Order: sequence, then structure tokens, then C-alpha cells
Amino acid sequence: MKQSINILILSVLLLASCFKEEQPVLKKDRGDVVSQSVEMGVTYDKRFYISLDQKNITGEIDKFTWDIGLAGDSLNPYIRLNTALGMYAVNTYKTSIFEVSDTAGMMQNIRYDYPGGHADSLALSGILDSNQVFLIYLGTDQSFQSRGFLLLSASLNTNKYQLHYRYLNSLVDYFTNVSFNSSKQHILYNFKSQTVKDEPALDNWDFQITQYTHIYYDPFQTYSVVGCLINPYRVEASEYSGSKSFSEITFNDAQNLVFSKKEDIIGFSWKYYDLNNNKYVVKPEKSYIIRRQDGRIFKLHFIGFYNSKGEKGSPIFEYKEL
Amino acid sequence: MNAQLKILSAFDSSAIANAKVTVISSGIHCISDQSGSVSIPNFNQALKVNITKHGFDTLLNLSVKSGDIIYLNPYYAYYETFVFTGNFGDKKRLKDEIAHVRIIGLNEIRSTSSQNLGDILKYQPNITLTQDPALGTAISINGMSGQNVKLLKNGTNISGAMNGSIDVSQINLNNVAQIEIIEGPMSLLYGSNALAGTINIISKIPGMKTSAFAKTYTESSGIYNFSAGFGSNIKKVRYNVSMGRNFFDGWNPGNSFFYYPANTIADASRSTLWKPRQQLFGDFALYIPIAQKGDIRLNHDLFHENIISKGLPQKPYNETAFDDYFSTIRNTNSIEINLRDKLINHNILGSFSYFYRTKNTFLKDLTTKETGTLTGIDDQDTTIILSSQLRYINSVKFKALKFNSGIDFNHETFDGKRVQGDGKSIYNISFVGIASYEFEKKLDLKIGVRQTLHSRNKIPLIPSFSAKLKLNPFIDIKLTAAKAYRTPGIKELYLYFVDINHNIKGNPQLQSESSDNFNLIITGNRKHGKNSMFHWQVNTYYNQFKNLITLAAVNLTEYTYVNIGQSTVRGINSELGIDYGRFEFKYQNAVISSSNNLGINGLPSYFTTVNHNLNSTFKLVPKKNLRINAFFNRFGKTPSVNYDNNQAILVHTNAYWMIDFSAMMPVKIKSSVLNFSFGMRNLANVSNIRTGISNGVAHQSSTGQRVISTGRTIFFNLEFIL
Repeated sequence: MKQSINILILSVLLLASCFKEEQPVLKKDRGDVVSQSVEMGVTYDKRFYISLDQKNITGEIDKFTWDIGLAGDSLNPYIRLNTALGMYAVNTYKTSIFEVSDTAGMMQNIRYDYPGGHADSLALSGILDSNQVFLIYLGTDQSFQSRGFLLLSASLNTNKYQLHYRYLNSLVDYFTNVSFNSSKQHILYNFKSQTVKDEPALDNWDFQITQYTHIYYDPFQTYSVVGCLINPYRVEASEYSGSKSFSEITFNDAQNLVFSKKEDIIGFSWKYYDLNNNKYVVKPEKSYIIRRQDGRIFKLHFIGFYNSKGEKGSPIFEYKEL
Repeated sequence: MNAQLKILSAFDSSAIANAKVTVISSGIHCISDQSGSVSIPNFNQALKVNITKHGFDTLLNLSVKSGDIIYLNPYYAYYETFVFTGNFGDKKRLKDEIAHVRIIGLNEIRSTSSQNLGDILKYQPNITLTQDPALGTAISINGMSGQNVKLLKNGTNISGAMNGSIDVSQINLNNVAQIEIIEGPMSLLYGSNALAGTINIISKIPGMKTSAFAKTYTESSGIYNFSAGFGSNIKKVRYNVSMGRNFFDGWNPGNSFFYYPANTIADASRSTLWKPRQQLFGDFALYIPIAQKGDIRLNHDLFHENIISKGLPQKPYNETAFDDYFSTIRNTNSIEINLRDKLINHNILGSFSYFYRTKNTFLKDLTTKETGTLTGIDDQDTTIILSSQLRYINSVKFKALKFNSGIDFNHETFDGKRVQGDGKSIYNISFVGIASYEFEKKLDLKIGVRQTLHSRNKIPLIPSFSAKLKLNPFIDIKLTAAKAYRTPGIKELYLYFVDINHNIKGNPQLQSESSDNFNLIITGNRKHGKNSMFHWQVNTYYNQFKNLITLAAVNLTEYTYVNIGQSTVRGINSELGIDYGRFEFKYQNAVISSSNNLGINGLPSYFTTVNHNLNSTFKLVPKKNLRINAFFNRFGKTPSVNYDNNQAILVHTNAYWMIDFSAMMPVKIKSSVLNFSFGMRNLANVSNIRTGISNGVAHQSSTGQRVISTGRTIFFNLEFIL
């Protein structure tokens, strides 16, 4: 028996294993790129404006502080929705707010803001010149509960937007005027508090990191994403299509690219959601070239979506002037 | 001087009492005692004996020496096997059992060196295992998924189903006597979820003698297992205790055959497809006989598993990675009291189980080894399930008529993320009545009903009818018609998954799924001469499911669970077994057809899979129980439907082979036995198979890989038995 036990003990000692400790890797040299991160929060509450030449965050706005964005440029007026809240709209084809009392029959004609930013592709396009009432779904609050519906009619007066709105099933009407401000892309308006919030001046930011609604067309589906929207008044951008890695891209590589002023040209495809592991995975191999009106060219790529605490909603990106 | 011999069953190494040993030279007869020991007086160096025992092969003119352990082969395990499932504290010979029961005995577990329930079930052709390298192994029986399979240990529910299935790789076979698989519905006896089949793991009952074991198992894929146990008695109270540790160090395709991971740098090699896991387990069993009146059995099982899923370093700097840690604790306690007298038997079962599972995801800085905890709803998850059961069944017998009646109470509390409110609980109380009658040992009839009062659902009356006709001494015909049901899970009832991109809510109004099942089984067996035997069986089944629970859109943005699905599963399982001298062959075949309910033209109305299984054994030295085993499993092509641009396409998952070889050799060292076995698994070296194949080519939109195994491995198993 002693012999058997000895054999067994020897087997256990020789044929055993345990979880292995691992040795840390060395931190890599970043070179002279600018590395920046923004803390949007795990529910993506904050929007950040970034200036490439200032190498800094030039503005920060909470998504729950505004509902609609009114174009600052009086030559190109439009109203867009805060798609970070999941808002959409329906044209009621009524000319008076008092004619609409419920949503019956309207959900077949839902319209969303196209994230490219073209004024004619917005859910409220036509509202300023048609005199028609639009029903607006106000999206969800911090607890993802519906914020309800609102009826809005809007028109233009000299240097002003004239808004008339009331919450559905409410008898309280609100009338307000909002002035144009050509130094801003949008004047952000809050229905409930009847206040406006300022974006940074147009010449003070190149792109923003924000939550917005993306639209898939085949099949049609809306999806809330976190992405990068450019400032079309100041920059245009292109995805780098060559085979070079971010660190290898030079000024010459940016010369033959086709640039676009579409606001979501950079968009959100620099990361994807890994369904197997339930995590966002960033694709740093996707590099973007940003060309400013003043001719300066920058390269940009994203390298993370989590902060050091492991919280999502913290995009980390690097850029460098070429 | 006396010669000492020990006589054991080759089937399960149990002691054989009353075996007759005849010394050829002197004609002296000796009889083995309860421990299988026999003492032969007037020891002679060249002792030759004949050994006979009813039900076992006779050994003639056998040379023995003092201290030898002699293994006798039963004529055929069928005669020596008892069924415990559904017999409420009693047991019944397999050949007399009216239900269709498949037994996996200790010998089969040892021959295959199976370490957990998943290991041994893969040799069953009508059972399909779905492997997740991180989350474990789910099963389906006859094409019906894990949520339709009832898993029991000694008749007690095994709790902890995640996404409807219990990870069978968590069920270790350390102290198991046999596994009973009952195909077909068993809701009459076991309530919800027993639609497709029931698997009952029967533990060894503590013996009267002091015993001990210790074993190690090593597999070249990186498995290192160790367990030990001890059993004894204090007066009439018998007990055994065992514990062990199973460790797997992870595996990646392309690993060298004898890959042994050392302390490594935190680079891409840290992430493996098959995740490292450690299981610690222990059990304690107590058996208290009540003089002439019955017994009390207590079982306590404790299981703890840790799985580490290390992620790939994140580009571009490879300095961070996401790591998942999964931890599972399962604690099951049960007490069973059997009281018997001449007229009435009572069986009382009480159990309580606790299941606790956590998933924690961290972002690890690979340069400093510091971690940050991810905050997404999928990143940190804790599931707690508390289950309790109280069941009383009595048996009354009047000659050929037998009645069972009883009451069964079950309570379950679930707490986890995405469930509305804190800790949802459901309970039910069932009343069971069964009558069985035996007509002149030729025809058995059994009819039963179960009526359940459920805290949330209306459960239909569950009737069951079984008949067994002994056509002649060699052929039995069994017929079963029964209803079964599955109550909705707590997540299906109370899920609350609402965020900016999701709006999925449970439906408290859900009804139970139900099934109508019909089984026809014909079994035959015949013995030829002293050393040959064959048996065969054909089992046809038809199972129609109603009210299947399906996730459906309520409106543009909201989803919930509804009862709309219907499905039919039908099939034929057949088996042919031959024992001829030193050879044993068992061929099994399963034809499984699941209905296609999509209503799309051009697709077959049934999707059919055909699986084959051949187990063969050659007894190299029969009296030493030295065996060589070969297992050939062919899992057939599995059809399914995929969509490409909204167009339904018939695709399939490739067929594959699983081939294993093993050799088992017991070595006697004084009064102990050292069982030594080794072999090779997955000789065909299948690790992944292609899915989504259309017309012989991989269809771009749907092709993928299904994980099967860790490739070709060798194993080594050492078991010391005192």
C-alpha cells in the first residue's frame, strides 16, 4: 500500500498546475503625437468639442440640457433634434397646435435626423417654411424612461426663430424667440427651462465627440452610437484608405484622398461592439485625415474607449499635424 | 497455510459475495464473503481453481496464487443493473423497468476515464453537446435543448441553469455509482423541464467497510485533476467523504502536443480559446439504516469554479486588455428518508440548494498589472438562485397492483441583473398519483397524473401512460404516451433590459410550454452458450411542443416574450450490443428530425441529423480485467436555415468524427488496487467544425466555426482503491 501511495503522491506532485502569474510588458514610446481622452460618462451624457491646433477640449455640454439645435447662420436656418436622447419627429400636416391631441395614426411617418448634417435630411426639415406642426418624441431621460411628446411649430422672423410649442396632453402653450448667432454652429434650446445653451464658437473647435443616432437603411433601423462629428464650417475629413499604419502616415499620403464635409464622415466605425465578449473594441488601424480651411492637415485615430477605471464612454484618441 | 483470494465484479469493481471457488486438485469448495474475500485452506503453490457465480461468467482451470484479485464478468450488465430513478428510494432491475432507461455504469465511466458529466455524455449518440470554451458545456437530448432536460442528482434537482442550460462540465463524477438517462417526458415524476429527458446521477451509498480512494488524471491539453475520498462507519451509521480539484490551464489551436504554460509575459499568448478553469469540490454522504424499517440518506455537495478569460492586448500599444472572471458556487444539501413496512413504503425527500455565479470584467493595464472594473450592465453580473424542494411519495402494493401517491413542493428564488425588482420567487405544489398493474409477469401497465398549482402559471393536468409487454423471454415492447411541461424562467417573466438601444421586457402573463410525447421501444436480448450474448433495441419517439416561448416585437422598439412557437421532434434510436468471448461491441444510432416551422417553400419540412456510435472492448486478460477500449462517434451533418439578404438558405454544419482509445489495467499491490488507464482522445484531431455550409461551399454571409474539442490529446489516469 505504501508503494501505491508513493506512486500516487509522485503523480500528483509531477502532474499538477495552477493559474499562472504574468510578467508586465514595457510601456511603448508614443512619439510626438497628441494623446487626448474625454470622459463622457458611462451613459454618454457629455459632448466634447476639440480644437486640433489648441490641442485641447474647448467645450463640454450635457446632453440633457438641450432639446433642439437651431442653426446659428441666418442664411442657412434649420432646426435639428438632440439625437443623443433618441428623439424623432412626425409631420402632423396640421397648421395649428390645437388641432393635434394624440399620436393616433402618426407613428407610420416617423422621421429622424440624418447624421450627415444636411439641412434637407433632418426630421424637422420644412418646419420653418411650411407653417406645419410637428410632433416631437423627446426621447428618454436619465432612467431611460420616455420624456413624452411635444408639438412644435416654428417660423422665422428678422434674425430670430419664433417657436410655439406645447407638451402633448398639456394645455400650456409656450412662445419664444431665439436669435441667430453666426459665430455658433447651433444655439441649443431647452423646451422645459426655455433657456439656450452656447456651443463653443465655430472657429474654436474642429470636431466633437458625442452620442448621436445613426440610421441603417437596409433594413431600416436606428441605433444610438458614440462617434465623432466634424465641424463642417471649419474642416473636412477623409478616412485614410492606404496600407500604412497611423505612425507611418505622412503629408504626401493625405494628398490624394477625397475629403468630405459630411458631419459624420469620421463617425463611429472606429470601434465595434464585440457581441461575444460584450465589450467595445477600438480599431486603431482606422486612421482619419482632417484638412482645415487654413490648409493645415492632421491625422487622427482612436485607441481606446475605456478609462483606467474600466469605465466605458471614455474615447481616447491621438492626432498629429502632418 | 491458507490462500487468500478476492473476487470482484469486472463491471464496477464491487465485491461479489457467495462466489463458489472449487480447488480442482482436492475438490474443496469455498464461498466468498460479503467483501468478496475467500480463504482456501491447505495452500498449494500450483493452485488451480474453478470459480462460478450465478449471473457471471464461469472461470475454469484458473491458476491463482494467494493475494490475487479475480474479476468476474457479468453475463451482461443488463441483468445486474438496477434503476433508481422514479422508484422513490427503492430500486428496480433494469430489465423490469417500464420506463426507457439507459444506464451508464461505473465500468463505462472508468473505461472512458470521464471526469465530468459532459465527458461521458459525449459517447451517447442522441445527446449533443454544445461547447463554449468559456461558459461550459450545454446538452440537448434527441434534438431538444438543455432547458427541456431535467438534471438530477440522487433525485434532487441540480440548480443553476444559465440561459436555460446547466453546464454539465461542472458535474464531476468523483463519487458516482451510475448515471441513468430516461429518454422522453418525466414531468409526471419530476415536474417542469422534464420534456426531452431526465438525467439522474446516482451516488455511491456508503458501504459497511472502511474504504478509501485517491486518483489523479492528466491530459496533454492541460488537465490536471486530483481527488481523494474516505468511507467508514460508526456502528451502523455509514459515511463517506471525498474532495478534489480539477484544473485546466487553457488551450489554443496550434498549441504543441505537450504544451505546458510557464509564467509568461503579458502579450498575445495570454489569451486562449479554451479558458483556464479551476474546480474545487467536495461531498459528504451519510447512510443511517433504520432496523428492518428503512434508511436515512444525507448528501452534501459543494462546488466552486473559477474561470479566467484573459483578453487579447488592445491595439495599437498592446498595453491594456479586458479580462473576465467567472466564479460559480453550488451547494446542494438533501435528506432522503425511506420507511418500509409490509403494506406501505414512504419516501420523503428534502433538499436545499444555493447557486451563486458572478461575472466580473476588468480592464487590465498590462504594464502595471493594475485593474479597473468595467461598469457596463454586461460587465458585472451576479446571479443567485435559491432552490428548495420537499417531496413525499408513498407506495402501496396489493399483490400485482401498486399505487404511488404523493405531494411535491418546489420553491425557487432568483436574483440577478436585468430582473425587475429584487429577488423574484416562484413556487409550486404538485399532487401525484400513479397506479401500476402487472398481469402475470407479462404485461405491465402504469398510469399516472400530476396536478400542479403554480404561483404564476396555469399548469395543465399532466397525464402519463406506460405499458410494457413481455412478448417472450427475450423481447420486450414498451409504449409510453405522456404530457410534459416547462414553466417560464424568471428572466422570461421579469426581464427588464431597457437602455437607449434596448427595450426588452419579460412577460408575467406567459404560459407554460407543453409537449405531447409518444415513445415505442422494442428491446431484445439473448444469451448463447456461456460466453456470448447479444441485445438490441429500437426506440421511436414523437414529441410535439406547444406554446413555445419566443422573443417577439411588440411594436417598433419594444420586445417581449410570447407563447407562439410550435415544434415537432421525431426520431429513431437503435442499439445493437454483442458480447462474444473477450470482445464486446455496442453500436448505437440516432436519427433526429426537428420540424422546420418557418413555412418557407423550398426547405424540407424536417431537418434531420444522423449520429453513429461504436464502442468496442477487448479483454486482454479477463481475470485481471485488463481491457482495451475503442470509441468511434460519428456526428452527422446538421441542417439549419440562415438568411442572406432576407432570403432563407438551407445550410448545414459539417459532420465530424470523435475517436478515442483507452486501455485499463488494474494492478494489485497487497490489499489495495491501483487502476492504471491511459489512452488517446479525439484521434481525428477535430477542434472546430465549419457551420453555415451551403451546397458544399462555405456561404459567405453565414459561415462560421463551431468549437468542438481541444484537439488530439493523450491522457493518463491513476486510481488507488483501498
